Amino acid sequence: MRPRPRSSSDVLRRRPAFQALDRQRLVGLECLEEGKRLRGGAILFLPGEKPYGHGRGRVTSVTFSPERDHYVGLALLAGDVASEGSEVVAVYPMKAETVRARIVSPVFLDPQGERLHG
Amino acid sequence: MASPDFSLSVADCPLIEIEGWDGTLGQFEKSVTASLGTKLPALVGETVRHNGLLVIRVAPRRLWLALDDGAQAPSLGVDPDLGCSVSLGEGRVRLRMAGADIARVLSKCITVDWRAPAAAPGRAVLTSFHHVPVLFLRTGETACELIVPRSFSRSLSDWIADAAGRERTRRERSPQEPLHGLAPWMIS
Repeated sequence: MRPRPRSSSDVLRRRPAFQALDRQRLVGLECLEEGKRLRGGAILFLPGEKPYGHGRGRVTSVTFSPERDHYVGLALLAGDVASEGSEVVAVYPMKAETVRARIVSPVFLDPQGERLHG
Repeated sequence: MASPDFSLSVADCPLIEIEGWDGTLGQFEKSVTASLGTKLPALVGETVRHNGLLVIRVAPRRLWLALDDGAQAPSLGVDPDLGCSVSLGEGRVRLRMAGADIARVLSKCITVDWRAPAAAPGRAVLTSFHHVPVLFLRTGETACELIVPRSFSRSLSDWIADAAGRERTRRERSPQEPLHGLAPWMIS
């Protein structure tokens, strides 16, 4: 028997789509290939996967990080493959570009706030 | 990057921001005029060049003083009762662009109409480029500068280089299309 929801927010939280394992979540990406870059709108695939269709997620925004000296980005990626430290392949068909990227925390810089708060 | 039709270079940008308080703007402007030895631009977007210094009015009470390469910073003693000054040079970079393709390239970067009076040579426009606030400075008929935050300079210069590459490809495919900006259907 399913547990009885206690409030309206509880009802929303229990919606099947929210419980789906492949529900997209926000992740950070860092470019792993020297001389290449991430691009906003790139489609994400797992390494070895055929780059076809909508993939496992997409890059939503990118920028060059002077601190890390490579391109970083934010992406929405299926939750069942979005484990930090693992690799994905970002494919940008408009320019026929493919680049490997590592999944990291979306907080790229000073995640504990040590620099901010001294 | 440089080609006969478009060139892009990145350089440091010594820059000082000064701002007058609301109630004492007249006195503040008189004092700055005396210190710099030149009149100030009257309206937002106007610029005045003097002794290697470009004075830009970026807001009704705010001016940017952009120094040319190698120019000495002016000695500005801003009275704290009248206004304030702060150096922005550490945090800004100047992207210089020139060439016949410049209008088309910039149309892929910022929402400034190259032909508008507000973007005529000698004018400045604060705008955004990929969500980043930048200052567009029109320096000539086919030349301009963008003063951009240093942390985004690489991203933005890559973006411009990309746009220039696409423009070069387009030009090679259809060299007879008119240059300087607009497609034929946009010119009536």
